[in-house]
Amino acid sequence: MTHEEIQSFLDEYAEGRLPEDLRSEIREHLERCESCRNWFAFISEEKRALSDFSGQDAPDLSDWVSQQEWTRETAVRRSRWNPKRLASVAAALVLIAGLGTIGILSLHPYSASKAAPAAARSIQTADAEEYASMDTFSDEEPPQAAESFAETDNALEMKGDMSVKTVPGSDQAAAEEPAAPEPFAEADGALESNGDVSAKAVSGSENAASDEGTVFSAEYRSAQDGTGSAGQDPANGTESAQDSEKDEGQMMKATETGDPTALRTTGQDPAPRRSGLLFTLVVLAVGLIAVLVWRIRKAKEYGGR
Amino acid sequence: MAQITDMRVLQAQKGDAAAFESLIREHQTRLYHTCLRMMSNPDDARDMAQEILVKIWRSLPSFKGDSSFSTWLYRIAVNTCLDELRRRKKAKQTSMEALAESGWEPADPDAERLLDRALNRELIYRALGELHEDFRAVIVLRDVNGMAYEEIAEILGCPIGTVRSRLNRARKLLAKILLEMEPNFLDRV
Repeated sequence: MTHEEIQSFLDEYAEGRLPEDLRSEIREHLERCESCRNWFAFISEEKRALSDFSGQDAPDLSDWVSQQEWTRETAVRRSRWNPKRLASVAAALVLIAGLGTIGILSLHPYSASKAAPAAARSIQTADAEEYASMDTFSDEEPPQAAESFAETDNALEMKGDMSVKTVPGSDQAAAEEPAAPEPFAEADGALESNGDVSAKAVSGSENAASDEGTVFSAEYRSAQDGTGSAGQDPANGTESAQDSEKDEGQMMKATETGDPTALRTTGQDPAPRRSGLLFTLVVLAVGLIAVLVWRIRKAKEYGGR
Repeated sequence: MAQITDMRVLQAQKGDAAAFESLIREHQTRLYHTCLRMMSNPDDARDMAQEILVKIWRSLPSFKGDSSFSTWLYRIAVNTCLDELRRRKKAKQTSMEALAESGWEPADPDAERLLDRALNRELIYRALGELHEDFRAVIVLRDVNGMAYEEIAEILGCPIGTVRSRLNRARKLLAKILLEMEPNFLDRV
């Protein structure tokens, strides 16, 4: 045997646990090897020091135990599947499922439409102010400017925003604008085919409207929902609401059938839905992995062995 | 099939606090010194021992008796100490200088030998505190608790050959740390 092998047995050699043939081999080695003798002396000293508990009295742990409240827990409460633990597991599962549901709802197309009314209201206020300022200038501006405003009004009318009707003293150009549905349909078609709402709105309303591209785009969305105009103009509002219902019907159908083409026609992308499902799966997977890791660690530590 | 033979364990599993206290009374000295050598200071050792007892009481219903109660208890003890040490990565050590400066002086040759032993013991405790926790655990189980290799293998979940080689390596590292602390250590042995 090598020195290393002999040294690895010295601990047991000191306790007399080794078979006789191995003992005699180690004894002979120690007689002629000084380094292994020194190592044997070191091990003996180390073992003696570490097993010496003198001067280090242990506290009375059993007495401490008798004073503890937790020893009065019943066996049922301590068992692996006691009601409290089951309730904790159920709560964790509900939390995981809830997070997953929130993930779906927050990314689903319908939840986005719920935010539209507030946006539409703020846009209407902005429109009213804009028209009021237009009226102030309408008597003084040259005919070219009036035409420009007329175009702006036209563009606004196209978006189905009825606030223009409520502004007192609306100019002649605005009053003579063609009916909303036809240009609205054109704009609708252009927007749906391209998908870039703000860009299309700007192109249809010339220079004056170009400053308000983002407003128009938001307005267009509110008009699509049928929420922005329904309360102000019964005729166009109803029409918008009908369009909106039609679109919602299409989206529902697309969602149910999973037909991405049907969704595309409404300007909606199925990606959010997929993202919502992915988010749910990730949350569930992370939750399950966490529970599994926890159980495995517990089993390894205490696992009844 | 595993079977629990100790009636106190069975009674403690059913919530008998007196049976549990009796079991603890039997193991408390070794349990405390396991914690003391692992944690390197008495306050931490007492805290850890108490934490371990709470864990043992709460885990008793899941104990199936595949190993002895003692093996199971020390597995929880060593794992709890290792978890705590890994969290802290530090240990407070006693000081050999503090012992030498405590005012106690040897009166005769035997007393001088005792001082050497006391100094060696303090040095070994201190060096043990410097050792990596995995090596420390195997030395504590073997030399503080006097456990057989088979039992240590069961507690650490590794083969007996691994226990033997890890123990030998741990002692080599311990000796190296001791020699760095006190170059004449082996002369006093």
